[in-house]
Amino acid sequence: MTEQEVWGALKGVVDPELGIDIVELGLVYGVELSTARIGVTMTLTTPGCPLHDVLVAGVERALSRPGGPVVDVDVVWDPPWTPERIGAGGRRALGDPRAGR
Amino acid sequence: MKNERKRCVRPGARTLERKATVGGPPWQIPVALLVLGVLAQLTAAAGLVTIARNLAEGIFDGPTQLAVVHLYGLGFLTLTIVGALLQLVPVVVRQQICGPPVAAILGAALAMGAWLLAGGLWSGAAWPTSCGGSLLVVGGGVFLGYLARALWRAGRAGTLGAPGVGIALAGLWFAIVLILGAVLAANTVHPFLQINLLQFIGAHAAVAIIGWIGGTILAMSLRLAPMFVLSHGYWRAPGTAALVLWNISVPPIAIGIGIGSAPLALAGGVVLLVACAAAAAFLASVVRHRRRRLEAPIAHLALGLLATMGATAALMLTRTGAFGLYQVVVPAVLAVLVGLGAGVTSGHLFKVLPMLVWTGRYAHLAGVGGAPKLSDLYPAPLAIVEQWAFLTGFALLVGGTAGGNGTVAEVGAGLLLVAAAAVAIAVVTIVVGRPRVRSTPVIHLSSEPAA
Repeated sequence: MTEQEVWGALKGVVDPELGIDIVELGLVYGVELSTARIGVTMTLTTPGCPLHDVLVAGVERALSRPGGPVVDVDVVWDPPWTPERIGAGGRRALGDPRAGR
Repeated sequence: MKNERKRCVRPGARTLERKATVGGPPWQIPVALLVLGVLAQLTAAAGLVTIARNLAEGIFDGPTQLAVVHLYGLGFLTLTIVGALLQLVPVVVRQQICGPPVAAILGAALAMGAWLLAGGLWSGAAWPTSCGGSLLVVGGGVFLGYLARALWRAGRAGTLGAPGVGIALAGLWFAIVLILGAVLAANTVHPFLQINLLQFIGAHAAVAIIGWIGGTILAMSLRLAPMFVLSHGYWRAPGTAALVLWNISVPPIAIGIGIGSAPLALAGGVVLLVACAAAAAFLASVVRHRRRRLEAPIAHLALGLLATMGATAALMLTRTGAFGLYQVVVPAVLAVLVGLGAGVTSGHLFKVLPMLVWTGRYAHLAGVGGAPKLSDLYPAPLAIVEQWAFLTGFALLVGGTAGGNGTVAEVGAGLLLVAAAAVAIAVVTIVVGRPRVRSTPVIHLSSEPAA
């Protein structure tokens, strides 16, 4: 997979509560690629999020291919996620009062 | 970067999609408790319609009145709170409460106990009252024992936090409610209490409604309210202060009512008022810093806090002679039990239940597409209908009972029944419905770069 394909696959992982993909939400901090490994560094909107395992498993599922590289997901809390990381379209979809209409 | 966890997964390896929370029971158990709770609310709301005129006339201690109050307090609120805590406590404090068999058994004991007790109080028969009371004591005692163990472990692991402390205190009040309730149930079978029974019942009700139900709602709201509206940078201190003051207010109110000491109850009322004001300040800050539109849980929490403040203030004003005590008691109890307890719990069902069902049914679709949104699991207008019917019905019921107008009170109770029916329809739709599965992500945006 190319890096662009990885980011595209990550856009298929949708937060079911918010209805927005994790890339648009700004939850993905970085992607590292090698022939043997796909590393994803991500966070969640809050520690103790009930969807913690669901979203991590979703990332693994989106990137795993039979015979493909190992998928390695790091969930980090530093830097902490803030709503400013959400893209403008996502903010409008959420009904953020500070988003432009 | 500070890592919480790190793991590698090879293609085809076992994933964790069935494990939505740390140590939570299978989703079917809390869902079953929530469904049974909603059934009790529907029955209690129907009962409320039949007694609304009596309540407006100041008759509050008849058999049907006692049955309705216990169906609300135990059948709906306690069962729903226990079901939700089984799933949420592991999320909040990262400790398991108990395994599936224990969760199923204690849930069944609480559900059967609540219905038997309510039936016994309604019919005046002794055996359902004593059987129901015994089941509640056993089921509640087992739950509290496991809850205490989980919170103790969380304390040792450093994951307790303010919500965990609040849940621990609410659990303490629940234990006292069970003890006082068991004494009352035993007295019903073999009368032995040589005290003012009405005051004893008042103390029992105060610990149940303010301590157990209100305390749990407040503790969980500290965690859930900001999460529901994506609020960041809000003012946390008033929330913690509200939790502390709320729990401090319970002993003077309950003891004051129990021994007939108005100054003591008044002092507790003042503390409860300050706690409500602090909770309102916390909620206002959460709302001000929100990044999502407001939904049912927040609207109901705001109404519940206002209702509690109004009820407390009205009860305190009886000391000035502005109102008679018995003119205010019924609307005040309704304000806190229904306005805060039933309202906030109903509002949260629109969030918690879809989350549980989605995790059980659709988590395996995360990352491969085709999963519905949580909000796809029930028709959105039901939540709107519920909020407006509840708000209007609650205002009319409290206003009707306070003003002694039976017709207004009946109309209000009827609207509360409509609200309860909307919740029940939503719950049935969520649990047995099969939403149309989307083939593509709901929102798949590539808008302007994030900050």
